[in-house]
Amino acid sequence: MRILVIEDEPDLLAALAQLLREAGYAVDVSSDGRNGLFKLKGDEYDAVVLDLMLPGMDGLALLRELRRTKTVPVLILTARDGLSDRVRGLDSGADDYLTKPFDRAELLARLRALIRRSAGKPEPTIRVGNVTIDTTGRTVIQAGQTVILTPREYALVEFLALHKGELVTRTMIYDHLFDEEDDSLSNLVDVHVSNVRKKLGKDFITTRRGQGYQIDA
Amino acid sequence: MLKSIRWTLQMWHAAILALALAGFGIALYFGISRARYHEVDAELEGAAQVLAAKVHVPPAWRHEPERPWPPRGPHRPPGEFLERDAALPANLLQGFGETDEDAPYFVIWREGGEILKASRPDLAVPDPGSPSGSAGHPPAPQIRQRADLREAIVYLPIGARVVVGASVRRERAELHRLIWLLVGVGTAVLGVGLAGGWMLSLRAIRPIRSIGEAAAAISGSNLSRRIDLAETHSELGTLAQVLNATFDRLEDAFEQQVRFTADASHELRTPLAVIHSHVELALSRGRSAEEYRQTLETCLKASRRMRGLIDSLLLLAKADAGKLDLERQPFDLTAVVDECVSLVGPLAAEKHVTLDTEFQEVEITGDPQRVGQVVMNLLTNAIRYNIDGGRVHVKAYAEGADAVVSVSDSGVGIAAQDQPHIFERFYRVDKARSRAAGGSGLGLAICKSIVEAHGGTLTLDSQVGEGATFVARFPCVPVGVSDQHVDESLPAPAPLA
Repeated sequence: MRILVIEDEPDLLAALAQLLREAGYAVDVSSDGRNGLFKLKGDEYDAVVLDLMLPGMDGLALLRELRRTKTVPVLILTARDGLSDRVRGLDSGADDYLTKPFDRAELLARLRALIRRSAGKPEPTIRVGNVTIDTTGRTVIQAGQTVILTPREYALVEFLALHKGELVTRTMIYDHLFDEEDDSLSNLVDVHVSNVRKKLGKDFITTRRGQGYQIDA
Repeated sequence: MLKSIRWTLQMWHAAILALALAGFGIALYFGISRARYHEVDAELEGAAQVLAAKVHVPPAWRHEPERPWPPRGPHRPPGEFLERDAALPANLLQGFGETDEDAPYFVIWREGGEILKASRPDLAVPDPGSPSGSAGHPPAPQIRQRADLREAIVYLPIGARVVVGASVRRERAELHRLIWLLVGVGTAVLGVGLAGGWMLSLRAIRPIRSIGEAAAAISGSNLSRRIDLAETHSELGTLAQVLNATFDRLEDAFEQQVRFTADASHELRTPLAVIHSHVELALSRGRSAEEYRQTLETCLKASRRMRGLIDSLLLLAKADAGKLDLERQPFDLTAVVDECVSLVGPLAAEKHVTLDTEFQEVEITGDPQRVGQVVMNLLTNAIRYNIDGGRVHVKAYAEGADAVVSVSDSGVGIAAQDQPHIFERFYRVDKARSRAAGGSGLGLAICKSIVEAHGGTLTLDSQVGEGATFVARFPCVPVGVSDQHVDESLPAPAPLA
């Protein structure tokens, strides 16, 4: 899953990026509103962590502009916690609101919830055949046995599972697994798919020739 | 109750009204009473004169009007007699009624005291005698009153006297009734006046009470209520307007205070979030020594930022309360400015900004450290918000009774809509710049507080595209500089964030 963090306080931005990456997300960063909006319009993200007090363009203005075209879930992270601030934030199109200072565990849980909801799979646990994917603990269990996956492999499995029954193109996978800094080759996706098949069985992921991959519902 | 305006008004009103009514009543009574009695007296006297004319005076006496009075000695008249038809005139009888009780009467005495004639033989009328008049003339006619009887006495040159009297019982009764009438009417008028006055004062006081109630409700917890002007008129309406304006100002000041507190806590949250996130992250899994070190450094940086912010907030709070501890010593302002210019030299060089100065010797009384703080802030702003290769022009000089420090930069200038707010706390023109530079929006607010605590002014002159000039003006003769003792325990103020 790929997340965009828009925050102007450099130390905090660094902490957020690191904590999200260590939690298995691909993370892009931006430290001002206009730049953030530009990235949002150009790339696909699974969630956005947005600070309100931004230079260049106010966070709420960015949100309103974003909502004209995109439905990506947005979590507002800000020092302002007044009731009217919260209401305004949510009414401008945010999906969730967290005040600073925040707890790492809460931020991660809320992001997971947003991503689940936005994929239309509200249940934290996804079942595919005899495979159970626990998105909270980031574990995969097949036939009662825990399967060890690398972070990238898990990310791939989770992404396909959240889009269970839908066709996912290679580009989509690439965009959601790697952040903008990553200049890996796109056929790395095929490598990861092949590795997952080795661990979870050939039929776990279906190939649609010339189009992409899919996990059958 | 004695202090109540209504009661005081009422008392005075009652007193004045009562006095006026009493005065009027008394005057009226006496006027009428006098007139009435005069009428009676005139009639009686007239009748007495008529009778006196009927007393036969010997011819010899008629021709010697210079006879001495009272008549004594050998020239005593042999005797007088009355003409036969001597009786009281008919109109007198009519005027006084003919009942025996009230009927007028007369008695005539001779000089010696014997009764010449009396209208009724049983009258017990005392003889007035023959008192001495003015030399040679009989006394003028007199009036005397005996209980209910009023009598007119006329003296004749021959020593005789005529008394005509009548009962004034009816007159007295009438006048009595008049007294009661006047008292009654007066009391009624007083009552009506008091009642009217009471109602009037009630109507006048009511708006005052409603203003008082509204004001009390306002000063409680609800600052947005206002006095309802529709209820009041004229002078009280003006009072209500003035009070409403005051409450507007109060509400604004209060809102500003609330906003300031909220802004302050928000500013503090960000460095706190930095520390919190970095520590949580460092603890979430095993880290290398280098990672821990970096985390600690980041925390220290954030902690310093918070400290600077808290110091600034404390200074502003003290300035607000008027308790800014300022030293009060004469010092060379120019020297302080010069020192600040040297201190920002490296920063200026880094940004390729040239500093040029124009100094005159000028001395002021105040706190050199705080004033230095102000100058440093203005200089660093001028450098930071400048263009690459720009200039900063610093002047210190005396102008009239003031010492002036001006800092001009060749930067981008400040837009007209921002200018009125630029000295406000936490106001940032461009959020980007100041955050990146580590500012919190309090620098100029602090400068203004310090300058004003010295009795001076801090003003801005700027146009977009043409840079900005900040002018701090200090009175050479100190006005309102705090007299408080120097607080030795406070550390030297850190450079403004």
